[in-house]
Amino acid sequence: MATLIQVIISGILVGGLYGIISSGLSLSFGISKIANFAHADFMTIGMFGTLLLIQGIGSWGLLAAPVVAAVVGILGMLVYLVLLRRSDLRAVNEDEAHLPQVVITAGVGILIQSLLLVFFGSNDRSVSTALDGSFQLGGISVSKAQLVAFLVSLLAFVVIDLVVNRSEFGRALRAIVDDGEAASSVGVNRSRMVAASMGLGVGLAGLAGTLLATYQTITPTAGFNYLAMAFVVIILGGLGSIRGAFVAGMIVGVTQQATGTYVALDLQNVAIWILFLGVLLVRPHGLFGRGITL
Amino acid sequence: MNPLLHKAGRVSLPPVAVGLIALSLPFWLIQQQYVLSVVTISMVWAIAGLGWNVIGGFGGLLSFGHSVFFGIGAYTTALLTIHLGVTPWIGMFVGAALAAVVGMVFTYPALRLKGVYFTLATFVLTLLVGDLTTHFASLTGGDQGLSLPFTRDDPGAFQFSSKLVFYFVMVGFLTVATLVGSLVSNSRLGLFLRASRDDPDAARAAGVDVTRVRLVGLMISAAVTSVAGSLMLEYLRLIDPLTAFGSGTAFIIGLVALVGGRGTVVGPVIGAAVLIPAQQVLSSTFASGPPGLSGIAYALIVILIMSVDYRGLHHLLVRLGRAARRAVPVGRRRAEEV
Repeated sequence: MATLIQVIISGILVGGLYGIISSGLSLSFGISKIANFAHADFMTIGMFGTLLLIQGIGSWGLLAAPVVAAVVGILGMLVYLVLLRRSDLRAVNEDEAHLPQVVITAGVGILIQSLLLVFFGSNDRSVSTALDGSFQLGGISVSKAQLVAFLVSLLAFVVIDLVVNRSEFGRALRAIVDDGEAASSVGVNRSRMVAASMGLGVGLAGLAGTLLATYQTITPTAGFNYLAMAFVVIILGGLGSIRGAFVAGMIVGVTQQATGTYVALDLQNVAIWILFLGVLLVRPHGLFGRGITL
Repeated sequence: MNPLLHKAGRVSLPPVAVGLIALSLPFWLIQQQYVLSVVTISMVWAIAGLGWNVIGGFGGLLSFGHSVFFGIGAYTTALLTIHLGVTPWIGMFVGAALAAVVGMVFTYPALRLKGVYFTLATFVLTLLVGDLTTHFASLTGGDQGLSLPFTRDDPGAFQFSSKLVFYFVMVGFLTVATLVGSLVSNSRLGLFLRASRDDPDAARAAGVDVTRVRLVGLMISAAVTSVAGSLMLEYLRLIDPLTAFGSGTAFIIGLVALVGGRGTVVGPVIGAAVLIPAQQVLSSTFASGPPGLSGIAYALIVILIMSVDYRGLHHLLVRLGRAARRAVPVGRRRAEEV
């Protein structure tokens, strides 16, 4: 029983983080239709940014996480403006737009990994902060870093949810998802909104990176392993749905922990991949709702 | 001219051209063993890219996981050779059939949906098979993979007296793979695939069974790419999960076709001829520098080509050709056209 509770708690804690990585991807994917294959590599930038901060000023560096996230977000916005906007604007149909974007973002991903490799080498790195160690509660252990990461993720989720559903900015975003042309005709600047949603989404990846850095090994390819996971989560949660992504993140987290504990550690992702292919078969528009809902 | 002859000419021109050029290379370009191995590897990736192009180019469904078919080909051939002593000449076709069936079963749901679902389904599928291959180590050798013994000059077991002979065998495979691409492109299937790519709704309205057409395209695509995997195994004499199913492999397969010109018959061959030697030269040039430099250069090349013309090098060459013709004085061109 204690094992089961442990599995569920650990699953929810990492799941919250998956939720925030995926909400970010969902923002750029659901709104701008950009399948950003470099999303997880932007997260790695966040991890290394945190590494530098903590090496420089110790645990207090963690308070600068929002700054790291913002810098990563601006990088993401630049990638859109410089490399992706052209193909986005001239595409005849949606699939036609995806193609160069997938290739260019995958290229950007390799570029990020290679740059990090040049500057930091391929050694495993980790940081030690005030968040090391764990709470013990009747045989169940909860890592402090994971708990904090979860709480920050939750906060970020609430903020993003409010921004998307309650603000003027969010209304414009949803208008573009519903009907891009109609939104443009009433004065919403599509290109600018897409850049903003891309920046916001990639910024969330950066934030997730800063959180992940407190308890995960940091390498130039550390983030890439989360890419497929993030895509799985947003498909499960329903494309473009922020709330769906957050819930699906936790489902994925718990499934992963349960498989890792009860079946085999190196098969923990296999359960996720099978879950994904299964959902594609029976509910292609995700577990929650259908189509784009925000 | 007889229309049938005309069509036969159109179908056979690309494979004949590709085959003849590849055949001629050892007599003028390839003077070193190193160059020979680079060109041989390029041909393997060209075959994989030709396979990718059937569904990714003509069909417009961007696969980010054709490594799954590549890997299935390699592992099936290796396992059959090691455990049952089956010759690779047969093993590779068993692998191709298996790859086609796996592709059919697991991507079927994605074929009914928009393209991006297919991209993700193939991506997840290759990770899934890669994880399983690593896990069942007693059969697959786990992380270490499988290696084939070297035997001397035994063409029946795909072992040749020299690397040059191996090269010429590969030219044969490349020519056949190009022929498959050319046949698909000029067939009713190719027409339906392109119609489903350009406007699925219109294709449906015209009576094309879009899902079925994509399914057939995917099976051909998987089979050809799987043969490339078997050939890579025979070249390296070993295969491991990362080489077989890794995202790096997935990326290269799609990239040779995309950079060369997806949806054109010879695009993947052009892409492989440019990208793979570039990659090999870059990584040996930067071997002394910090790791990662070749990756940077490689990524920049890809981003640059896709930004200049996302339809790829084939299209760029065609545009250049047109520009060159336009540069010829108008009077002379008129005279030629008349």
